[in-house]
Amino acid sequence: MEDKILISVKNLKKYFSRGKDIVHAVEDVSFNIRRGETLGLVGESGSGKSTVARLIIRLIDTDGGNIIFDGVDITTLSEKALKPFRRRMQIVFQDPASSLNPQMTVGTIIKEQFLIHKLGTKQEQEKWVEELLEKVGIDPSFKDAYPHEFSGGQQQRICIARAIALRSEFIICDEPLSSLDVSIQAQIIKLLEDLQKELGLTYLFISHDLAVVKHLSDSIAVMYLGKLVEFSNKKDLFSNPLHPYTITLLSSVPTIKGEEKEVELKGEPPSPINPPEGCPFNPRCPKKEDICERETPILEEICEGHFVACHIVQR
Amino acid sequence: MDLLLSIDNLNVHFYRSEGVLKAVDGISYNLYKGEVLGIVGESGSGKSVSVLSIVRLLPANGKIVDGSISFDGKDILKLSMNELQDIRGKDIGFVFQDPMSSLNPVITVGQQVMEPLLWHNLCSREEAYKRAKNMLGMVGIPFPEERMKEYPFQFSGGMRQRVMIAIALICNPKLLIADEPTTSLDVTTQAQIIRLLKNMRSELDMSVILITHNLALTSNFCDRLIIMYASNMMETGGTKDVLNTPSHPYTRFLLDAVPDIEVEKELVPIPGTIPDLINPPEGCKFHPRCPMSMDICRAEKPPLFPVGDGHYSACWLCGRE
Repeated sequence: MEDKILISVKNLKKYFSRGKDIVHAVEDVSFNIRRGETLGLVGESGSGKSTVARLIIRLIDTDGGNIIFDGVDITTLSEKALKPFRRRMQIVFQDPASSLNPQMTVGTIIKEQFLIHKLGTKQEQEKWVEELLEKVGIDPSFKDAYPHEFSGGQQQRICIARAIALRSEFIICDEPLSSLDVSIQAQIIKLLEDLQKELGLTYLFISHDLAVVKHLSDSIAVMYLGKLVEFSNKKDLFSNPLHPYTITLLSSVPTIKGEEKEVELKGEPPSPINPPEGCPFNPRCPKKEDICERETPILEEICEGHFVACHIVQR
Repeated sequence: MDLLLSIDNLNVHFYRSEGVLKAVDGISYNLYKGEVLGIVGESGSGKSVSVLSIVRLLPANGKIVDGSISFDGKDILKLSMNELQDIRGKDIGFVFQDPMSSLNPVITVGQQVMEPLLWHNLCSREEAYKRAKNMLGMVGIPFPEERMKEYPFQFSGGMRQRVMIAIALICNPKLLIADEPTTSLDVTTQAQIIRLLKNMRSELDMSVILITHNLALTSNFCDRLIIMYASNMMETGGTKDVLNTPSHPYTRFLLDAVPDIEVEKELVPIPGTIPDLINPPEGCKFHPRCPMSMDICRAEKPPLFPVGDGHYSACWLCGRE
């Protein structure tokens, strides 16, 4: 099993300073992603999901912990030593319009990847660009058009073409659907699924839309206030959520059947500047006991492959 | 049930340099007192414009070119600006998508909640203060008296939306229009806000129009739904009827294209993209994306055919017999 793990994150930490304050953005996050699988990372805004993504591909540096990519610890590799790894991991952001250079044609945007990594001849690069556009469902004859000439859905397809250009194995999708209309979202989901099947991609899929995450993921990690509170395969998490936060999160999702659910989360998410003592969820937790205010629960395996950080559940 | 709002054959055009954009193309519906109506559509479907027209809040290049709007017995299109301003904010309250840009950043929250009462001369300053305090408490803001002295930036997104709701409801409106009120919020906060709107509706006995792109959000809040696509009404009916037995291909597509947390299903994306509204397709606006389209769909715009009790669908497939 071990050799199937592509990404392993151990005790990841990241703090940002804001004036005199320290924002505890990511606190002791550990998980593995197996090759060819999709890990869905969910949580509310400010829970640290995007920071985790940026840490993993070394867009920002960690304040502690390790990132192991295909058996190699890349946490402190120099920029030069990191370059071969950069080729193997890519990211697709939420807003495609702002992640495409408006002054470059989409063909050049994709070709830039090959130029940076010095791959192929000019003719080969042109051919690859056309193949990639075709693959993501854009007519290759539009390669000389500029990003603003495309719709939001098409722009996101171009971002995806760029992300798979170097045959990267690992793609982070950071809320890739949030800025798209519902009828377009399904097209992009389908594209991501097809590409995964065809190219054997490994995804870290970040979203606040639990229905989308459920549809795409093999395993799911739930974050709350910078900490991982639950991690499990998809089936167990949705059929048997254990952490009180996960339970309320799932019951907050509106459904077509529209049954009224009883659990409602009270209060506001606390600030990551002064996170509460003990369990981060304790001020809002319906099952809170004294120990939750004193001790931070550690992520523990409750049943096979199902990890929870909660004193009450662990008992 | 008493009729509160009646819109008949509303046509709104936007004049752009590229041409005339038909933002609303002949829409008619009624809203009864105490009813919650959901208007669902994607961006550019005309859902917001059709509702902003009710108080004639259109951008400078937008114009209501045809149709009639009657609200509480008044013909809106014949009212003077002064008469309209009596309705805005008093009889009709608004909640928009982004609370931060709807609130004034340099005025205290308390002032902003009191403002509609004072502006409409409904009560004294002391009375307005008391009512604002009560309203903020009602919408679930803890320590309302202290928080009235604070500014919008000191509130979280969910709390700001509660403030917006308090402002919209402070004059006891007959109609609350909520335009994507939870789109910028997290799912747990969204659930809180929808629950709050539901409670306030029954407590204040008002009508609500909820505009959203999220079909699932309507399921346990709205009594009736209107599905809009490319400036046209595609389907309308009771919420349960529309969601359980959708009759327009677009509605069915919309339901199939969105993953549901409770149902494991294959997603069926809607092919193609939303049409250009300056040069929209002839006939049914959905025909270029519709796998069931026939010759007549390309030639003639379908009227609303009855498909059930109060359930109508603008699709030639429903009117063939």
